[in-house]
Amino acid sequence: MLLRVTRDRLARRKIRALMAVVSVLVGAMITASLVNISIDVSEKMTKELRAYGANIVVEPKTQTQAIEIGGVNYAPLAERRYLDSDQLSSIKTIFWRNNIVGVAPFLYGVVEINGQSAVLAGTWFERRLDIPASSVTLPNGTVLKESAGTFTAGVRSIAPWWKIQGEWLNDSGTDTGSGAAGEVIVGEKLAQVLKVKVGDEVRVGFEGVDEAFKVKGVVFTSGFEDQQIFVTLGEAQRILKVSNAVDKVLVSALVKPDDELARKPLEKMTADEQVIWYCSPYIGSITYQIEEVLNNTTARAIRQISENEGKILNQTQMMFFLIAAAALLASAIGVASTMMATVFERRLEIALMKAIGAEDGQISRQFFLEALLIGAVGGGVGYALGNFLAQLIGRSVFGTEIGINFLTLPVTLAISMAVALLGCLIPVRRASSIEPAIVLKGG
Amino acid sequence: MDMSEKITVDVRDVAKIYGNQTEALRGVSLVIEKGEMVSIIGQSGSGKTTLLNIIGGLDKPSKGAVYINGIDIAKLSRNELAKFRRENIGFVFQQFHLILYLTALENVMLAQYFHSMADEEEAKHALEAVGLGHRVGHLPSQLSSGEQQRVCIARALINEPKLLLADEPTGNLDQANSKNIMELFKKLHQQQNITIILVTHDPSIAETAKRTIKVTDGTISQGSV
Repeated sequence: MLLRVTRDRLARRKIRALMAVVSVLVGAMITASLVNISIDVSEKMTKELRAYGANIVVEPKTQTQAIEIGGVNYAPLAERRYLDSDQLSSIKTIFWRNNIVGVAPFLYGVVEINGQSAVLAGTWFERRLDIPASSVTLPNGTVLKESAGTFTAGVRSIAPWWKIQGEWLNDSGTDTGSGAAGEVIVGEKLAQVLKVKVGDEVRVGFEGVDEAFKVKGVVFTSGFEDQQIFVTLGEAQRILKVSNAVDKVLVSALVKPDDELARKPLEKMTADEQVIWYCSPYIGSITYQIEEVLNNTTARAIRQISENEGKILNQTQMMFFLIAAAALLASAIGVASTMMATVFERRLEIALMKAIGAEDGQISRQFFLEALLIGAVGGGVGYALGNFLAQLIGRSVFGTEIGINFLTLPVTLAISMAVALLGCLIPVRRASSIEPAIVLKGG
Repeated sequence: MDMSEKITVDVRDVAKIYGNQTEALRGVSLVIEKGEMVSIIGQSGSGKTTLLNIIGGLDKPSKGAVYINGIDIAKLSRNELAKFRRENIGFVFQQFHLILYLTALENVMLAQYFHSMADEEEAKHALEAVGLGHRVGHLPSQLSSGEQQRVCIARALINEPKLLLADEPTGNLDQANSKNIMELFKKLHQQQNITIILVTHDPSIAETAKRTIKVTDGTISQGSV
């Protein structure tokens, strides 16, 4: 009977019911879209933030302090220690291998370019790596096996903002990384000093050897790299006479912001905590895992970048939460004002019901049922529109699809119904205070 | 039989003063026995509707006591009064007060719902008893005034109340319909021996009852109490 009365009443007051549904719908739509985005956002935003550069640097473990200026190690060659470029593919075999989205090795040397001293940098530009099959042993002894695969590494993935005039050096698909022999890319500032442009020839001299190289491109990096000259890693190793040598590796990894566990020293963690820490994509656990696979190396976080990323993620999620809360509050106010008008319109009906024996609870239940129906319809439609809105935001902001999470449907419905119930609390109180004798008399 | 068991309504020195110090009732006392049909007559503003509302538990007296079947309803809480009304009293209003989006049958079933449980068959029988067996699925807007008042009577009687209170039941009806409604009241009174209090300003309607009480300026001015 209650359902029939509520249904008939809603059908009769279509416009008012629709207004209440729209109030809930807007809040539900914004909430559903933000919840969906929020779930998806950590990954998407982290990937976006990864475009701002590497967040981990891997270097050889050394006893002496490196003399580094502008990212280049100026220690005498004899004292320098190197990473083995043949081992770098093992970075993609760690537990969080899928979160490693960029790897770029660098080998530096000071050479003569057209008679002037300059830094020669050898690196990978866009190089396909074969990743061997591997296994990972967790702190509790569990062994996880992973099959072989491939991965495209190079500066183009860790520094996508570098702009090239001319062409990149092509080292894709080469086994040794020594493609593009006889070709260089010159940093923009160095090109100005040398007065060279794309297509020109430069002479590179090192320890008595002098070779001609063709300028394939001029690179704009807005960093110290603008003063360097680039060749493929294999060419740099040949020129500098250090086979398989790499000074440092920059790694771009998707990480989650540090929390209490991440800040705890590893030795103070319990065994269970160690497993959780190891299996969480903290920057600390990823650097730890890199050190596990690369012997005699130090992997460290480029802290400022990592911390800023965490801060941006937390701030973004807080902003989403506040927007959703504001939208839901507005929905509750919308429902309250609509319900208030309904109580005023229905005061005679409520008075009559009270006169024939309805208790306050029975009157309240009608409004609560109405609110639940409004909440369910508004929440359901809002969820569907929210997914659509999430897609729009995903495409326009992140340039990608936002995954639809069906778990957000019951959450959205529950929040919408709760908001509608909240919105009808004051109207219900007003309905309960109606005096039948006065209203039925026409007061 | 104990005298108290014979008495349905016992109003003792009831006064009603509204917020603006208007005295609607001034020390009214009245006894109505079980199965009586009583009319309360008076001019507009005399206090007769206020007296009916207080007897029906829709309003509370400022002073005095109202015993219905031995219970002082002035002392009941709001929800206790609601329960008391649905179990003991049926109301018939001048403006009918039917819910416009519910059919005649649903209007009757609504009173059942608040009382205990809606029973469609029983509600149909109640409408048949007032001569509306063929109009059960009609909305109030599809019924004549006389038919609407019959629905109101069926709704008032559906829970078998001990006391039927009718406030100007023919006030919105033409002469023919007024006569029919009063005939219906008489028939129901005879068949079900229900206690009926009719409030009216029309002496010809008041004559339908065996006893007439006249209210003037908040006091009983004529008729046995």
